[in-house]
Amino acid sequence: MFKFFMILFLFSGFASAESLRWAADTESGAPYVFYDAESLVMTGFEFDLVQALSQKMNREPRFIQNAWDGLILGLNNNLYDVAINGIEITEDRKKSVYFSEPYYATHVKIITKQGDTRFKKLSDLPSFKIGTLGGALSERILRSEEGVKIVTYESEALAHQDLLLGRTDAIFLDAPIAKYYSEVDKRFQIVPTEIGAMTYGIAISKKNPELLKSVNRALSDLINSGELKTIYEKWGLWNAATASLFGDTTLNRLKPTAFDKYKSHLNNDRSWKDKFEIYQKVGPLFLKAAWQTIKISFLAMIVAVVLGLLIVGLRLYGSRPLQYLTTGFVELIRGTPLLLQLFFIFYALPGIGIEIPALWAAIMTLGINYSVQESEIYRSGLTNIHKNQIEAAYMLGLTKWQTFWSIQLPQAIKLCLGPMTTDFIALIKDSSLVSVITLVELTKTYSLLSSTYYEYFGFAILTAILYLLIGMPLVILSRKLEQKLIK
Amino acid sequence: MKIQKLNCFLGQNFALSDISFEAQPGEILSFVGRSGSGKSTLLRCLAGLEPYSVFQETKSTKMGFVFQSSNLFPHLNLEQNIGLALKKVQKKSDDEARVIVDEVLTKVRLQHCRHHFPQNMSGGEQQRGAIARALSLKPDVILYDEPTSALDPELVDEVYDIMLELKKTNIIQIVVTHDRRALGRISDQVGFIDQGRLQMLCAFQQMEPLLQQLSLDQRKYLELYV
Repeated sequence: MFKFFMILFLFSGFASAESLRWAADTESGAPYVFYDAESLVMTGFEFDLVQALSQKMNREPRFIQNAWDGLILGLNNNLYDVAINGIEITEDRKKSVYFSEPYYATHVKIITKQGDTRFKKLSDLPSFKIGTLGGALSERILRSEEGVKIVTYESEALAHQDLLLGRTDAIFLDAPIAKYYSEVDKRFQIVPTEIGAMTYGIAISKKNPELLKSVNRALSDLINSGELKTIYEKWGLWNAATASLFGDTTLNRLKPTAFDKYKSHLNNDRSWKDKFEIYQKVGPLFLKAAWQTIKISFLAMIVAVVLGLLIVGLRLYGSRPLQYLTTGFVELIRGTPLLLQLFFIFYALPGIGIEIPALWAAIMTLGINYSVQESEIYRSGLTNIHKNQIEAAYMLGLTKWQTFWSIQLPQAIKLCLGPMTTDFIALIKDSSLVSVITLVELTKTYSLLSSTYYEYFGFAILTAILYLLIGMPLVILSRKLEQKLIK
Repeated sequence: MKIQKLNCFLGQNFALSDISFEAQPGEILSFVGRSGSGKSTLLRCLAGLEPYSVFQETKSTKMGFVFQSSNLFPHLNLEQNIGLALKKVQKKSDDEARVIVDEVLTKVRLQHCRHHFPQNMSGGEQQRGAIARALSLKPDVILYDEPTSALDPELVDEVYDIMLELKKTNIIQIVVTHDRRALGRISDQVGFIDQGRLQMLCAFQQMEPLLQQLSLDQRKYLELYV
């Protein structure tokens, strides 16, 4: 299945010799890699693992956000060096990437609403609606059980939300996720049965066997020195499976301080003061995201207008072959989804040696996509002019070009202003799709922050207001222009 | 102006065949005929808006054209409508153009509409504006395609008054019309076109005896005008 792919915050296509580019998905990322709700600083047991690992390897870790089910794809496209995000070592995946030695062993758990006793083991699940994470081993285990109605999610938080809302009967997730999302919330209960043993490994591109060796060396150092165990203990994740994997039978020595800290931030009954503090904290992030949306949309609009004019010029006044060519182009762009175009420009073009940075790929794709609609608007504006006008201009001795410039264009602009405004507002909204090519704009920020704070309602309103504010100047400007042109 | 054996094909059909006529400076020549008879096509051929062939022709290339409607550019005011070709085609300076605009607006008595946009002018004013615009380029011929058909009856005369005044300036005016008053009031010659042929061409006063040569059907149509 063709799935989304995202990279957050620090995206860089260039690796310096010292850096270790690592990728994970921070959206509902606890306890792997996520943002601490209080400080909004990145944390998680895998985050700690990467810090320790890079120290051992003497490299500078550099984080790249990516949607979970796109992690391996990005690895093969050389967007980063390693992917560490609870990726289960499977035979299938081993065909496309190298895996380090396993660094954690765990199971899948069934999670139900509190008091629901219907589900005790895997074979109880068939004929029920079961939520799980798309692309994870848990999904594959469910698929092997005939009759289960599987609902896949990209976010742990949303999977839990839907269970509460009754959209699913139970959810089926890796034990660490269950601990951090289900155990901490009284509305859920975790079925004790451990299902399907699995191990996590660090994924590395097959083009990079040297890196695999040094990662394995560093990992084995961390295991032998007990540093890795310390990390797991801190996060409350040290378990029997991992203990036997490491051949370490010592007991849990440390308090799960990181887990406790995480729990303390999960406060479902927030006071107004708490809420106010949260909004104060996320405000700048939303503004930053809004700026990204503005930047992408407005630059794309410029591309759309310039290209749209070129297309309409060629279609109406170009030579026959050029007319066919542009008409074909218009139909191609108009007939295919924007999402597919984004994927094509960002992920497929590098395959033939054309690499475009994410921001420019987004602007280009949106611009090209909308240029086609713009050109159709201009075309109807230009061809809606009374035939007498063109002939009158001819009789006055105006050239074709003068007629276009002085007679057709000014009248067309007036006719086009309304549809153009509508089109541009649609463009602003469609810019939310660019999160699939690693850009973090307004809608993506909404989904990241709302799943960090469980504040879906308020943040949605905030996001909607920001979108309206971005579109507003455009509406006002077009009204003003229209009035001026009508007189 | 002299035209001999003008022919025009539109698509597969003869739109006009063997049209010949002559017009002297200062004359107004009116063409009448049913819809689809080819009279408008003749005008468009003369203007160069349709392709045609001709055995022999003597005509000035300096021609103005007044359409039935939508003559003036709606996004420009009257002064700009007139000034556009003066500046863009004849490369006149702003001052030179202003002098000419003054002159032609006085001729058509539209000084008060100088800064008006077409949608704020009456139909008669718009047609006179179109005549002024044609005049600004100092044409030898002005072609009118049903210039009064879209006008309220009381506005028709103001257009004819202007056309009659222009006779003094030696401009040849050729009018295609449905208005029977136009024939007696302004025409020096009347041409009757039916089925793409010029069936009759004469002074308005001489029409009646010539009617006898026409078919019953044609006579019936033309008698409406006499």
